[in-house]
Order: sequence, then structure tokens, then C-alpha cells
Amino acid sequence: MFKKLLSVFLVVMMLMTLSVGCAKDNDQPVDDPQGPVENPADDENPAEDPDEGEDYLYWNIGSKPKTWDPTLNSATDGGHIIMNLFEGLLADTEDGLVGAVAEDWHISDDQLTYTFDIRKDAKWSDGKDLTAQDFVYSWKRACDPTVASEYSFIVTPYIKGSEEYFNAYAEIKKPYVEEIEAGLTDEVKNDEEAKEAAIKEGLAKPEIKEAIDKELQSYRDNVAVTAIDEKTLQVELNMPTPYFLSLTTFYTYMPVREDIVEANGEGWEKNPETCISNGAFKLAEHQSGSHILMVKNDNYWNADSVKLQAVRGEMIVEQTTALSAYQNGDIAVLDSVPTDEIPKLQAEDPNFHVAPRLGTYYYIFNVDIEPFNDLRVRKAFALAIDRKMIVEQVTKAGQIPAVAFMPASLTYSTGESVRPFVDNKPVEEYGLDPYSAKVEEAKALLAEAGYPNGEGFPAIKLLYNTHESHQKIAEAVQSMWQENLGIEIGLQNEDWAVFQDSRREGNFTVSRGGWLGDYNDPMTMLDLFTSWSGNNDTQWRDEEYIGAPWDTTLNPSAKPFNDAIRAAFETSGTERDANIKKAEDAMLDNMVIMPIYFYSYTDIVDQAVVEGVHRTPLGHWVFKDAELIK
Amino acid sequence: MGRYIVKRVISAVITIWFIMTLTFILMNNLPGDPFTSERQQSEEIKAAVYAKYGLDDPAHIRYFKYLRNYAKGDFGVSFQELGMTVNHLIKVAFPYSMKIGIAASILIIVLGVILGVLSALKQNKPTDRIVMILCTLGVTIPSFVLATGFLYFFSRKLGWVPSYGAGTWKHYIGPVIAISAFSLAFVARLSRTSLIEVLQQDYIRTARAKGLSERTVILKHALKNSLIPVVTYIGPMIAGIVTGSFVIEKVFAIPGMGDFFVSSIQNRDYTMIMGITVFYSIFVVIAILLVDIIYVFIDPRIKYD
Repeated sequence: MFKKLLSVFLVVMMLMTLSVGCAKDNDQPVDDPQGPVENPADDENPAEDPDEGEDYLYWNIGSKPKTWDPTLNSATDGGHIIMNLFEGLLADTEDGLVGAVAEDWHISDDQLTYTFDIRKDAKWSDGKDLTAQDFVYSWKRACDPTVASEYSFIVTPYIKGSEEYFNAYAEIKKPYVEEIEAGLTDEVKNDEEAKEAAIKEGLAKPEIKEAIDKELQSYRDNVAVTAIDEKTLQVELNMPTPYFLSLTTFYTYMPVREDIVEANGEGWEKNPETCISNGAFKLAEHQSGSHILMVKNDNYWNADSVKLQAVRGEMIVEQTTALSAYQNGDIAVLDSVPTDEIPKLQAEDPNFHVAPRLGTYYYIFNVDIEPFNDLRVRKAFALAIDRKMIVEQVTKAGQIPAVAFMPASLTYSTGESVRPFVDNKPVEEYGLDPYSAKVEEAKALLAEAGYPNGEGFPAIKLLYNTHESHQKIAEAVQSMWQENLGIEIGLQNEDWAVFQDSRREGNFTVSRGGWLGDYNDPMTMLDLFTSWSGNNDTQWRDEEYIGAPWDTTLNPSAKPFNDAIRAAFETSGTERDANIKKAEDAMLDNMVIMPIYFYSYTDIVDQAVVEGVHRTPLGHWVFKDAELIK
Repeated sequence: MGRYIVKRVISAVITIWFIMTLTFILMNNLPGDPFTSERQQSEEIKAAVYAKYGLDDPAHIRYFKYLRNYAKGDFGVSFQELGMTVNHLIKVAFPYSMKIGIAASILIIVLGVILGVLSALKQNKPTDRIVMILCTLGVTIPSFVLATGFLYFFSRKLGWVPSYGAGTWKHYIGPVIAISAFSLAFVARLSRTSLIEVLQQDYIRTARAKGLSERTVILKHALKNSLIPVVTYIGPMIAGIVTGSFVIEKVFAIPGMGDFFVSSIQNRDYTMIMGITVFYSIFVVIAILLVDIIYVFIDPRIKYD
């Protein structure tokens, strides 16, 4: 009998262990032993009650955003949320730049000083006034070395004093480090790890930390963004930057509240109570991995025009699930659908759209090593692929065959597109035909380079990051090179984190590449391949770069490109346009990359449910003009 | 018995420590880091970010720091969801996985054993054949196919269950079925085989010879012994199921823990990798310990002294 009871007890115990784990991760100590067993009712939110949420717009974010703190965000998913919770000085719309928080702005004659008049009625979601000081704080935060924003690079080159501030920490601490090092015993000095630990400990001493902070503060004060008065913001730039107004629409330039951020630290934006924002919506709920709920912000200066009561952003990762939720009528807005479904959706669903996106998909050649250190080989490979076939048979999502680097939505100062499209269709450029492979020409070049019919060509591998779509493209390209050039190449895939390092450090011969623009100016694409860019994975440099110590093989052919970029920074108007053109020509004449296609968006907006949903030219969803159809 | 348990608990702690250490070493030798991103960071940014999250410390210092914090139950802050502690993320996600896991475990054990017993008693008769065909299907159909198919028919076509998420009880039907299929089939086969074997033992013949009713023979003498292999299997299985399934949770868009196991490694989210590993190993270790203790009561041949 006893044994029976005990075994029953043990089975119960076994089930109880299911909740033991819960007790372990409870933040607070729990006295009540029943406490740790999560009561599902506590977690369920009203939105899951089928009766509520009728006034909500259901949108699929499609992933679990890392952050939507405007200063820290570097990803598209966070960007969507920020664009709806926050508002910058200007906004980028389909009709161009318009004033958002800024009512008016003035640019000095030398184009170095910008003054913004902030709307008198601009407020935060908790009702406090939005002031110029909020922008001063936020912009300085973006280039604060201790905040370490991944997107500081979109601020520091432009605002006077910000680069110095960002780089100051390393400089300031140098004498202190030297002092600490001098005080160490030889034994510690020779042990790299112990030395590092000792230095870190030394720097953390209150008096030293205080001294460093004080010096850092003087750099912070020198960042040339100032509040002239409550509602007037002034900023001085390092150089005339024709796209600075466009930059102010980007999330890194959006305001955050000093008192909130400083009091709550990282993660303030994930808590509805502390997520104080200034856009059309405010955060009402957030459940990690599940959803966020954004409700109308009644303190928004233009709240009267906002018709939508709430937007629920779902984090459904599986595209098939999201699509079926849409087909069930549970979700009205989504942007990633399974590739295999695209042809069917395109044919049958009027809610489905494809639009060009500011970005290019390409392969990069490692110009430092054989065989791609030979321009003729690079050209032959670029000529030997059929781009039309790739976009129509492989990617199938409305991509546009690319024979150059900058996508068509980028424009010159005249408003003319950088791509000479005819009837919105690409034309032959740089000797590459968007609609077919030029096999004869490719073969001739290859023979000239010493590999007639591909004979004697070294064994090479095409590197790409592990992903189904990249694999399909790689296989298509592999077979085209085999067929058209008689060259058999291997395929090699690597995990994203590993892939990036391999590519950056030039451990590849030819690799997949792609770039999505950050702001609406040709420079967002072009400055990728400068010699001083850490993203210049082609290793095409004519001068050594401190960020790429492995790249010691210099390529004089990169000089015209770098010169043109430098000149573009110093010129404006049509003169700048000419430099931009010159730079792209230098890049493509040298064929350091092999363009494949321009990215596209796919999106579904259920027109029976909602109208007025927009996307910014950079592709962020904007719901403030949306309205549910009853 | 008491001494045995104490001994096992000590060895469990050592096992978990060993797993942690191994995970830490492997993790630190993975190429890439939590802040690898497409936009190349300048050395300054990288150094600043590392300093902010304490990644600039040498590995052994970080290791001891982790150990100290884990002893206090603090898993640290996730790199992949800024500002969220690993404890909080697990706390929010675990109940979903656990609900599915408990429901699935009960379904697997109860239905699995019943089907197995039924099959064994009707060996080679139509009932047995049908059950075994179903079991073969259950073992061979991948769970994501089952999950997608379930969604297609019951949500898209019939509209009986919601299309995604985890709000009402209806949301859980699909995930529970999809997650159970394999183990359910496995348990059924296991208990069938085992019961058939037990029924051929001498002591069963003795029991029958004594004139006991078939019912008593099966329930009192055969079943208990036939469950030994089943118990061996279900211990670790429960630990695995309640901590969530990556595939099932992804297909049904359940905000559970399954995703952490995969995404944390993809993202090199060091703190989450460690947190989730420790969490999972505690489960497995406890489950195995309980299985070993349960043996004593169902198998008289086993004694721990």
C-alpha cells in the first residue's frame, strides 16, 4: 500500500517539476509554492478575446524585433514600429519630403547650418511638450560612444563635432591606460588576459571613471546641435549634404525622451508604461514573440486625422501561417509571403502587390586573388548569366534584372532617375544585357584571359549564406556558368554570422552580396565600395584602410572611384550628379560586382478591410492615414 | 533510498555544471558574435558595444561571472531582444510551451498505453493491424507536415480552429496533436511489444493456471511490468516536449520557448544560449532522476541501496 501511495506521489512530483522551472525564472522570490505555476489567464490579454479587437488593424510584423528604440534600432522590423510610434522632423512620403514635427526649416547659404521650427502643438504621448532639447539629447545619444548605436554612422559623418565625440573615448582613456599599465608587474604584463582585466578594473575605479566622463562631456557639448529656444533646433554640418533633410526622416534621427531613457535604461521601449513616443500611435501592449499593440496617441499633434484606433502587430515568422491567416481574414496587412505562392497570388489576388525596393542583389568578386583579379574574367562571368531568367524562373517576386548598381528609385538632383529605364524597363548598360546572357562575348573574354572554353580554370567556390532563396539563385548561376563558359564551380554555404566574417576578410573568390539603402540618396549605395568602407568586401582598395588590415593588395583601378566619391562630397547640384555617375561608371567598368537584380517588395493589404495604408520610399509601413472599412 | 537520492542530486548538479561548461566553451568557439551585422561596424563601435555588454572581459572571467549569476538564478540580459532579461523571456514563453507539453504528455501516455495494450491483446487481429498502421504513420509523417495539414483543413477549409496564436483552448488542439503524433505512436508500439513479451512469461502462465480472471492477469500482473520500457522513454520525452518545439510553435505561431533553441544559436545570443541550455538540462536531469526512482516501485528487481 505504502509503495502504491509513494508511486502516485512520485508521478505527481514528476508533473510538479514541470512548474519547478517556472519558479527558477521568476524574477521575484515567491513565497506561495503555487505562485510559480503560471496562471494562463494572467497572460491572456483582452485582444485575444474574440469580441474585442474589432477596431484593430491586424498586421504581421513577421519577426521578433530586437528593439524599437529609434537610436538603437538597425533592422527593418523595428523600423516599421518606430515609423508608427515616433515621428521625425520631416517625413519621407510618396510625394517627397514633408514637414512632420518640423513646421518649417531654413538652410543657410553655405548649406552648413539647418534651423528647424518645431510645431507648437507637438507633444509626447504623455502630454509633455516636445522640445528642441529632446532632439538635442537624442542626436547626441546617437553618437554617444557609451550608447554604441549600430547606426551612429548615419549621424557622425554629418553633424559637426559628432565624430570627434564618438571617437573621443578611445583617445581620452589612453593616458589612463598607460598609467595603469606602468603600474603592473611584469608577470601580469606578459599575460594578455590578465593585463586586459587589470586595465578594465583600473578604468572602472570611481575617480578615473569620473575624470573620463568629465572629459567626454566636453566633447558631447561640442556636438553642434543646439536648442535655440524651446521650439527651435539648429544643427551645423561638416560639409554641405544635399540629403540631410532626407536623413532627418530616418529613425536614428527621431526623438526619444531623456528622462525616460535615463531612468529605465535599455528596453524602455518594450514596456507600455515607459514607451513614451511622439508619433500617431503609442504602445499599449507588448508580448515578446507574440505581438505588440499600438493604439492611437491622442496627444499627437495631428491626432484628428488619425482614424485608426489600434494596430496589432503580430510576430508570425512562418510565412505560410501568415498567408493562411490573411486568407482566413485574420490579418489584413503583411509583407512576406512564401515565394512559391507568388505566381498564384499575382494572378488571382488583387490585394497582392509587388513594388521596387531600394536595394540590389549582386555577386561580388574578390579582386585581389586569382582568377578574379583579371578584369576580363570578371566581365566574362558577369556576361554569362541570364538575369531575366533568374528573376522570372527563380526568384519570381517581381524583381527587376540589374545591370548596374544603383536602383532606379534613386535620383539625381534634377529629379531624374539614376537608371536610364525605358518604359520602366531596364536597358543594356555597361555591356550587360538585362534580358539575356552574352555568351560569345563572354567566351572571347575568357579565352583572352587564358582560359579558352574554361580550360585550365582554377577550381573555385561560390560562397553564399545559408538560405533557400540564395541557394536557388546560386544553383541557377552555377549552371549558367557551366553551360555558357564551360566552367564548373562549387557551391559553399555558410551560416550568416560566419559568412559575414568570411566575406569581409576576403576569404572567398566569388560571393553573394546585397545591399538595401538607408536613405534616399545615391550615396547610400555608392559609399559601400569606397576604400575606406568596412563593407567593401570586394577588397577593391587603392589605399590601405585601418578597418581592413588584411587587405594589403592594392588596386589602382579603385582610384577613379574614390576620387569621384570624394568629389561628390564637395560638390552639389549637377556637378555632384556628374561625380556620382563617374563613380558608378568606375565601379561597373571594373566589374567589381556582378549585378543580378534590384530587390522588390511583396505586400498584401486587404482592401476589403483597410484603406490608406502606405509605405515610405524606404519601405516602412505607415498606418497613420489608414482607415478600417466597416 | 534517501542516500541514493542525495547521491543522485549531487551528480545531477555536477552534470548540469558540466553541460554548462561545455556549452560555454563551444559557444565561445562559434565564429561570429551577437553583434555581427551586415553594416560593418567600425572598431570603435565594436569596442563600445562589447564594453557595454561585458563581452570585452577575457573568457575565463566571463565564465566565472556566468557561474556566479546562474547560482543566483540570474541568466542575464538577452542580446537579441534589447533590455529583456533571459529570465523574463523564458518566464513569458514557457507557460505556452508547458501547456502544450503537459496536454501532449497526458495524451501520449494515456492514449499510447491504451492503444498499445489493445493491440497486444488483439495481436494480429484487425484492431492490431489498424493501430499499427496508424502508428507507422505517426512515426513517419514529419510533425510540420501534420501541423501544416491540420491548419489547412481545420482552419482554412473548415474554420473550426483559429489560424494562429495561443489565446483560447482551441488554439492548442493543433499543436498538441502535431507534437504528440510521434511519441504517441512510439509509446503505443513500445507498450504493445513489451506487453506481448510479458504475456509469454512463465509467471503469467502461472497466474492463468491459478484460475485468475484475464482482467486481473493483465491489469495486475502483466501491465505493470510491461510499462518499464515506456517509463524509460517518457521521462526525457516529457522534458523535451514541455520545453517547446521549434517547428510546431513556428507553424502555429505560438509564442513559446521552442524558438529560443534555434534562434539563440543563429543569433549568437550568448546569454540566451546558456540560459536555455541550463533550463533544459535541469528538466532532463530531474526527469531522468524521477524515472530512476519510479523504477523501484514498478520493478521489484531494482533496488538502490
